[in-house]
Parts: sequence; C-alpha cells; structure tokens
Amino acid sequence: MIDLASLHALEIRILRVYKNNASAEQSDAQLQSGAGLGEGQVRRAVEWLISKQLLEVTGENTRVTVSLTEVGRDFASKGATPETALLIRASAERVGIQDLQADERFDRGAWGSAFGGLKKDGVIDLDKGAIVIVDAGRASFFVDRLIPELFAKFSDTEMEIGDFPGDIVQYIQANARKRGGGRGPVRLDERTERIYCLTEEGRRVLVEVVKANLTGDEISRLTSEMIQKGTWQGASFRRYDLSIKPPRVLIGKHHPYRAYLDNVRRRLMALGFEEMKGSLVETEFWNMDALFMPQFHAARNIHDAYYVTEPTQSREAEEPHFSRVAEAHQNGGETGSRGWRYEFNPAQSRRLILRSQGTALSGRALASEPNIPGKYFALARCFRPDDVDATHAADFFQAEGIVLGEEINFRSLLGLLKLFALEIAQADDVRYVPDYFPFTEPSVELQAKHPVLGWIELGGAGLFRPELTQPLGVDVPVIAWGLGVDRMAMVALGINDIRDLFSTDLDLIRNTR
Amino acid sequence: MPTITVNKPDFERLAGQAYSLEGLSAALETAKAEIDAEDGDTLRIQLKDTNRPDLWSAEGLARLLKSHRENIQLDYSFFDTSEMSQEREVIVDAGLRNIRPYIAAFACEGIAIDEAALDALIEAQEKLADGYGRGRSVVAIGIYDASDIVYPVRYDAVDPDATAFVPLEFEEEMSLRQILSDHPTGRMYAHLLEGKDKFPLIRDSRGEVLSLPPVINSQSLGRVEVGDTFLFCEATGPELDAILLSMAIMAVNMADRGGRIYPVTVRYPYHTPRGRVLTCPYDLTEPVQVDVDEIYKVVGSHISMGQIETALTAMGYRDIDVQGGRISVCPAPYRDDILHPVDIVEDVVIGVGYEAFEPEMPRDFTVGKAAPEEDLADRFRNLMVGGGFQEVFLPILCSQKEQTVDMNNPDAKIISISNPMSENYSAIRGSLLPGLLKTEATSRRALYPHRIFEVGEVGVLDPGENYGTRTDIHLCALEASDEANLSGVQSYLEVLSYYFNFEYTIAPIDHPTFLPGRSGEIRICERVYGLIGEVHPSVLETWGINYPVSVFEVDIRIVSV
Repeated sequence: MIDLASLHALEIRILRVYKNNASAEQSDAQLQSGAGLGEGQVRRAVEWLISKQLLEVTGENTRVTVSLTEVGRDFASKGATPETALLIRASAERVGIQDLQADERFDRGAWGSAFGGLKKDGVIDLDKGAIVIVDAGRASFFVDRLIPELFAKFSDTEMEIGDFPGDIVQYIQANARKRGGGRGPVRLDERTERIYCLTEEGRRVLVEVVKANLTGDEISRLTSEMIQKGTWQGASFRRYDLSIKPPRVLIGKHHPYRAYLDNVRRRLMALGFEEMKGSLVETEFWNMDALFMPQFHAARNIHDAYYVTEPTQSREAEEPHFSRVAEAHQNGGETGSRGWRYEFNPAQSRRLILRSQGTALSGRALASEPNIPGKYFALARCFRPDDVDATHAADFFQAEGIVLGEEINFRSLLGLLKLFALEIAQADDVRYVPDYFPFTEPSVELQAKHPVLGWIELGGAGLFRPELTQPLGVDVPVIAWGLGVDRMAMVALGINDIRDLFSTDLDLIRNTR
Repeated sequence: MPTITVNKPDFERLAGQAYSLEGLSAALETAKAEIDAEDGDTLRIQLKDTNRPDLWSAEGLARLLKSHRENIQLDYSFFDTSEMSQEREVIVDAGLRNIRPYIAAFACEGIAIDEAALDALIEAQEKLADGYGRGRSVVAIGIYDASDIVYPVRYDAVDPDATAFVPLEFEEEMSLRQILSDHPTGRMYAHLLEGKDKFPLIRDSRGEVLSLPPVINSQSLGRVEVGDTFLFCEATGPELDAILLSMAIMAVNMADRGGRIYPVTVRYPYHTPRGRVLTCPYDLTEPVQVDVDEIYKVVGSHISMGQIETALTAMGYRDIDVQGGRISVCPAPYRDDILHPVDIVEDVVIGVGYEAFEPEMPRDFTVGKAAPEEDLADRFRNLMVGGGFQEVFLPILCSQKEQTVDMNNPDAKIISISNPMSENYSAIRGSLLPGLLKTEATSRRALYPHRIFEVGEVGVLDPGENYGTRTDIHLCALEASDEANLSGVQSYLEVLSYYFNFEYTIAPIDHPTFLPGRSGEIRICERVYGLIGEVHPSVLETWGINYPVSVFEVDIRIVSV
C-alpha cells in the first residue's frame, strides 16, 4: 500500500470527505465544500489522487452557479438595491425622482433605471411628482426578500442556482448576464463537473488515514508569523515524505584538477616546502644552461622547446651567474669537473623560450641566495612541442623542487622520496630504480605500487651535479625532485585522457566529484 | 631518449643468459633502460641515459648486464696495442682540414654476420651517427666488406663535379653533386656539405670508392651482407674525440660478436689534438680519482672497500687502485661520460644496488609557505566559489586566432610562438576570456545560468622587462544567461572590492569585443587593471554561443595597491 507520508495535506482532506460513506459519489463542488477547499486546490489534489489510483471519475454533471458581480457585491455591502431603497423611502415619505437622485448611495443612472423598471412592471406609479406603491406584493419582494435571500446569502463566491427559492431564481434569470457580467448584479455560470468515487485502494488508504488520525490540517510550512504570534503552539505539522529527493542545485565549486593540485600544494607546504614562482617565458640560460645541459644536448633542439616570436632574446645576460655557468660548460671551471668541452654560445643562452621544465625555477632559486637548510617547490606549467593526444596535453604541470642542506645525501634523497610517496600519493610500497637526468648524479626514479595498476612511476629525483650548484653560488648538496602530478591526478580522478584534465565541458566539470 | 630495436635471442646470446620478460625488465634497470614494446622476439628498448652511447645497442646493453651479473671485467686487449699498423693505413689529404678534418678506422675479422647481427650493427651505427653524432654532423660511420679493400685507404678532398661513383641502392654512376641532389639519402644529408668547394671521399689504393662521408656508401665496397666475416669500419667528423669514441664502441660491439679487431693507422698532414699519426681503436679514457670520504658523503653511509671495488668492476671500470683513502680508476675504454668524480660515485651506488641503502627521513626544520601571489589567487578563487561560480581550468598554450580575430580584436598584442606544432597551440594566452568563451561554446547543453571563472597565469608583452614579457595572474568571471548583464556581473566585482578593500572606477571605453556603450576599463587612479562588459553578439556568434554573456577580467594585483 502507498506510504501515508507521501500523501499531501490536500489529498488527505479530499479522502476524508468520503469518511462517512466510502462508496459515495462526490462532485467537484461537493468535494470543495466537503473539504473546505478552493476550486484550484481540489482540482490539483484530485489529479494527484487519480494518478495514484486512489480516486476515479465515475460520471459528469452540468452545474449552473450564481455569483455576484462587482455591482452585486456593492448591493450586498449596502444592504440594498436601488429598487429596495426606492421602495422603502416611497413607503415612508413623499419623494420624487429628483429627491432620490440627490441621495448619493447610488448614482443618478441607477436611481433612474430602478424607477423606470419598477414603473414599467407596475409596482409603482407617479402621483403629482411623488412616487406611490401600487403593487404591495411585488414591493415586498424587493424590500423583504431580495437582500436576505440573495445578496446577503453569499458567504462564498459561488452558489448553486438550486439553492435559491423560485422568486429569487426568476429575479436572477432576469438580471443576470451570462459569462462576462456587464452591469448586472449577478452572474450565471454553466459548467461541467465530474463525479468521483474512491477506488478499492483508495478506500483502504482512507481507513489508514482515519486510523492514523491524519486530518490534512497539519501545517506544511512553519512561518515567521506563526513563530512571532505563537500560533505554532498546538498546531500539528505535516509529516514529510523523506523518500522524495529534490533536484540537485548548481553550486560554485573548485575545478577538480585544480583542487587536486591544491591538495598536493598544501601537503608540500605542510612538509616545510616554500613555493617558487617564475615567468612562463624563460631564457635558454635558466631553462637549460644553468642546469648544466650542454647546448648540443639532444633535448635542446628546435623540436623540444617552443621559441618566442618577438622578442627572440633577452636584452642582457644575467651576471655573475652567466659567466660562471659558461665556464662550467666549457672546462668545468672550479667545480672539479672537466666540463662538456665545447665552445659555449652566449647568444643561444639568451634565446627566449616557453619554460620546458620546472627545474628552471629550482635553478633560479639556487641563484637567489636560498635558505640553508631549505626546501622549495613549484607547481609549474611547462610547455613542449608534442602532438596533442590522450597522453600529451598542450601544456602540463610539473611538481618540482629542491632540498638544500649540509646533511643531504643519497640516503636522505631516498627518504624524501618515500615521504612523498606516503604523504602525497598515499602509497607505502615503493621502490627505487636508477634513472638519468642531465643535471643530477646519482639519479633515482620513484615507483609506487598501485592496487590495480601495479608499479607506477611517481617521479624522479637526484643530487644536483656540482657543475650546476657551484656556479650558482651554492656549495652544499642539493636534492632536486620532480613528481608527475598530471599522471597522479589522472589516476586519482579516474581520467584516461589527459586532455580531460583541462576540459571545457561544463557538465563534466560540474559533475566530477 | 634513444630507442633501439633488439632481437631477443640475439641479445640473450650476447648476454650469455636467457631472460624472462620480467627478468629482463628488472636487469635493464641497471642500464637505465626499459622495455617500451615487445612483439614476439622483437623488443623496443628505451635508453634514458643520453650520455652513454655505448649502451645504445644490443651489444652494449648485453655487455653491461653480463659484467654486472658476473662481476667480471671484460677483456678488450686490442685497445692496448700502441704499435702502429703497417699493413692497414689511411692517408688523409691536406684539403680536408676545413671540410671534415678527422677520420678513424679499424678492421674486424672472423665475425659471424647473420641477419640479427647485421640489423644490430646497423642500428648501433645509426644511433651513434644520428643521436650522439647529431644527425651525422659530428659523427658519420661507414661499415664495409673488407675482403676487397686494398690498403692504404685514402681520405681525400675532391671536386664534386669531376668525381663520380655508384652510390648505394643505385646502378648508375653519379657525380658527387648529383648524389646530393638526386639520391634520396643524398638529399637528406646534403646540408652537411653545403657551401663546400670540395667534398670528402674515401677510396682504396686502387681508387675504388668506399663512401662519400657523411652522406652515402658506394654500391661496390659499401655493402655489408649476411655471411660477411671481414669488415672495415670508419668514422669521420669535425671532433676527433667524438669519432674515436664512436669507433671504440663499434669495435667492442664487433668484438662481443666474436670478431678479432685489427688496428688501422691514420696519417694526417696536419696537426690534430692527439698527434699526426693515430692508431684506432683508441682508448680515450684517463684515470679518475675520487676520495673514499667523498663517496661516503654523497652516499650517506659507509661502504666497505670490497663492496666499492666489486661495484666498480661490475660497472666496467679498470685499473682500480686504492691509496690512502683515495681511489684511482679508469673507466671502460668505450665510455666518455665521466666528467666529475660524482659520476663514479653514482656507478658505485648502482653497482651496489639502490635497494642496499636504507632511506633516511629528512631531519632539517624548514618553514613551509605559499608564494604571495598564489596566496592572493586562492583568496580570489574562494570568494568566487562562494559567489556560486564554477571554477574552470584551462591550458595556457592557445590559438593566436582565438585570442585576437575571434575576439573581434585582430590587433591585440600577444606572445606568439615561432615554431608552433599547430595553430591551436601557437601562442600564450594574454587573456583568460577566450578560454571561458570556448567553455561556453562547448557547454550549450549544460543547465543555465552559467557562472564560471578562472584564476590563472597569462603572458603579456612588456618592453620594459629584460625578457620583453611578463607573467601576470588574472581573474576572469563570466555569466551566461538570459538575465546576464553588466551590472549583474559587476555586483561580483563589488564583492571583491568590498572584501579586498580596493576602490575602483569604471571608465567607459569602446572595445571591439563588447557592445558599444556597455564596456569599461576597471581602474584605480588612472591605472588600468582590467575590463568589464557585455560581449558583443557578433563575438558570441563567432563562438557559437546562444546566450547573452557578461564578463569582467582583472589583474589580481589590483589588491596590492
């Protein structure tokens, strides 16, 4: 059986009309008066009950109803029609039509037409300018019956024609304007109404409604007025159907990928890392030279970085680091290295590119008198020419950083990576594999065990080469590390196509949890 | 990163052991290599170490696995012959000095060339010449059937129009210049000889052409086929050490296949960094010293001298000598990547095995903090989310057209890329708005109203800066709905102005992106921080957007004033 909580207050009130006779037929009007509801409320509740198969339509009636027009309501409020008023005054004193028209209860036209109508019907006549009643019986109708039996009788907006006695009905029919009213005091409406019976299920539900003592008078909405006036006391509140779910609203929220990066960023800061920022446009010097990548390195050709159209070069080289880096490349300088042994090209060094690796920011941090001990990180957008597909985005993020300190060594590097795996990827099963970066020695790849995907690469790290740190003015060991945050985000967000990290589909963004 | 193709049975023969795929993956970690793809017996292996060309071949990888597994020092005694070879000589022409000055060569006998061996030799030659030799500009390598070569070989500078031979894969004689213009391989490498009056040519004493380096071999002598057992191998280039290293690698590769290596002596008419007479294979390496204390310091723990020596041997080092806390070693003769003692330390660590070292958690106390501009960006983001806006997050790399023409603003100045892969990614965004319009255009089915925003980096041209550019952080907020209008979106700017406590004015301007009379500059004391307006219907039409759109975009530094 249907859950009683799912019944609306209006439905309950309709059902209860059938309380004394569950098999009765009830018309719309009967339901309205029986339930004490308006026409619209009944119409709605009946539709709901029919759709729940608790009520069914068993027939139709044509109904004629009477209602007061504005004029009629005016008569009702004055307790008189012009005819009534005319007859009462004429029976009490000598009055002429001019005297009446001086009486402002009704306008001149109304007095005029009342006089004309009564005279024509032979109720009154004129005797030397004074009105005399000639048909006392008819006059009594206007004086004694018309107001109490018709105009004063309307408590509701509509009444059935059958509720009125014959003489009133005659008056109504003579004075009504059908549909659209005009100046007449009453209106007649003819409408078809339906007859309803409870279904078998409806009768069962009614029994339960009565048993549960539901009246439909339960209050649906608690209002401020009720609280202020205290009328909530003793009131009974409608129980809600909590199984019905409202629609989800549109809210403002952070982008899922950005929220993931926010989380990585928060965790890094919690681990004591300070954030680095830098320009999207870099020189080859900071992006590569300062990282001890030789100018002939395979990752430095035209296919591996985006070059800026205008300007093509920085205005000036950034000394003193520039000369020291150039020397380290050529012969090692004072770093204990033999260097890459080639002729360093200053013009190439000043070429402007889009940052192709986050390590550029780490190099800059080293050259800017960093804290020792110190920990730094950046979530850096990087750009490399690649055909965009499911595994290559137009631009990508690198989580990058450095750790400086007297006590830094290969074992603390492994420890740091383990910490990252635990705190950032929530992975406690890790392994370390030899790796290669042009700027670190030794170098490590960090792998973590994923419950479904198996061993996956989380990132890489190493100890910066002395040829890198010393020309930038740092003489303690430095860990350089990087985490593949794009890939980690894809795993965490269940995304298979890297382009979806930067999706322009609002539905997708709104609906991602 | 170089990727090589390896035949697994051939590889296992060289390594002296059969491997399961997992076993091989694990073993290759020592070589910083990983299996990229496998198809039956064919493996694609990626080499991460771009500074170890000796590993870019089946022979090189197998060599490392073998010596690491067995802790043995492989014997390449042919490097020790300091005598000159009388029978096998190359005579260099003085005219080459400013064309392609250096050549080195060796011969190999008794090598069994089957199909796998031939593929591997060619693979090694190509990786060395194209990768390490930078597209043959620094190193070009030729391998020949030596049985028909008559010494001395001559390396001459010749007139490209007056000299002709039949190039590989062709049947007719062509002049050297014709080869560069008509032969497919010739065209590919023609740029390397551009502007030279004379071209380099290698011939035997009879005048039979071996090759036109660095372009192509001859059809007659320059063909190696399955079944050959006697080979001649040479390298040419402008950097002597680079070609000597390449020849050392080719020689050990052939020796690993059972070949006996015979030295070839090159006689120069001019001075070279290593003398006028050079015998190859040549051992370039020099002893390197590293303090044991330095090893301990880098590693972070004590390793026994025995462990260090074992590890160094396994990684191919020779002549290990320990005196007073100082180790002297010589790298393997085919390696030229030891720049600094830390390179040796790394090989010790790899030789011992990473798993042998206990990770140590960082102990230094440091203060974590956000960059101030990111902190500020976050405060903007949180207010916008609180205002009911959905955050979007878009690429910085973008289409130049979308930033300019599609905004009805073709003259907008943005940072463009000179070598784009496609128009879609040909510039850095100077404004966030086009990205938000793109989102609108692809989200027409999403329930309205749309209130979206992005806070992110943009690049702007700034002649006052050393780089001529600047990176700023903008906020752009967009409302799309039938009710969207300027004052509606401005009420959110009001929210920012209230909570960040800045007083702005809006100066009306006519901007081509917006409806006339319905856009303005967001200013504080005459300085412009952003724009606000109702997007012009013609722009909406360009993007295919069906709802009215109101936006503002502002530099977040509006707060710091």
